[in-house]
Amino acid sequence: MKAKLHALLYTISLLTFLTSCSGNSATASVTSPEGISVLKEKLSETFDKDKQIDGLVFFSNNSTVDAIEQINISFPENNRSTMWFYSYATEKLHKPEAQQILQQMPKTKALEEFNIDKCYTYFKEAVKLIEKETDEFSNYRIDSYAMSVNPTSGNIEHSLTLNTDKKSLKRTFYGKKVNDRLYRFKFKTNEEDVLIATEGLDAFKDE
Amino acid sequence: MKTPLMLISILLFYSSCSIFSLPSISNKEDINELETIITENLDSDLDVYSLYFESKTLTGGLDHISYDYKLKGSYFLESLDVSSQVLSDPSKKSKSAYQNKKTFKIKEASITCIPAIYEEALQVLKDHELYDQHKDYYLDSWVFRTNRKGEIYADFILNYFMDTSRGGRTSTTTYGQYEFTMNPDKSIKLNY
Repeated sequence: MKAKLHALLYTISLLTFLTSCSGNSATASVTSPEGISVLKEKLSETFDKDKQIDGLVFFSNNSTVDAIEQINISFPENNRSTMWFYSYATEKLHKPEAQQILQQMPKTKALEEFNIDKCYTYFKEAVKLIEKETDEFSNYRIDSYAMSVNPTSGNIEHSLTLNTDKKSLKRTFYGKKVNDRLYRFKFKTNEEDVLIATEGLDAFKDE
Repeated sequence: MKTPLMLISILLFYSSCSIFSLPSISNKEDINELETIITENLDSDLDVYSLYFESKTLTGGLDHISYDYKLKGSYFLESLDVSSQVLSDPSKKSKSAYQNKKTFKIKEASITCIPAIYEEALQVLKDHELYDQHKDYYLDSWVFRTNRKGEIYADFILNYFMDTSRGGRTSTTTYGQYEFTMNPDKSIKLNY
């Protein structure tokens, strides 16, 4: 009886393992071209491509993976700042009631104008910026990736936070320490759409 | 005299802390051990702007040794955790705080004199009739710095227990503090 139960548990865990593996190739992320196309598919089936929004944010599930777990869009509606989010856990689009009254009308753009392919480009650029300074880190993952419409210029700005593993336990001048192994870096695009580091790479930069 | 300071702590944490016994810079018997910790973990030839020995309040047991220095045009502060002997990641400091500051080498700041200076400080309190023989005076903070001429001096603090009141799971400890300066010639002065 016990042996049977074990066998059953084993089969179940094997199945979960298999399914999670086969799901892997189709995981939404911004760290691979495949992940980007899965993400784009999810966006188009979830949201109206013409919807005017002022921000789009992707969140990863946790600090160890960079599969996207949640997609937020924000937009003004009835003079309130509204945020809807799609959750991969619930497989639903959630529409919480807007609370915050807008002081100032944000600039918006249609969802389809947000260039998702660029996220992968900027992700690679961010890794390049880190590796130009130091080789102490590996396994670069997205913690969150935000795109927002600049309220004055109307440009779409990108900002991203990367989680990385520190290879050794030696102390480092780079990154923001989360724990002994996990370090974080932040980047954003400037007015010329060039990606710059905003946290973790300033140790030897002039103030 | 200075207004009493407060230390609020969760009781659970407070009691768990007392398990560890850390070396004390005011104790002559601990100085050898401390010098070993310093030579093994820090670069004694490093040019620093300050060297700071810090204890948890009202313990006198050394918790951290921290120091700041310049590297490739930037200024950093890092600290050694005494019980684990692990160095922290350097954290960048603002350049403006270091204008016209002079450095000294870690090895130039001798800690061997500290126990004697501590005894002298207690004597100063006695001379000023500030000393209470029923109290312990904890050397919780000692910082080596340089003056304008580049000479090493030190600022240090003695904390003493005043009162503890308990409300629910938290306790509030009131303590008093005397601040001293040790001049480059090792004479000492009570600041208040």
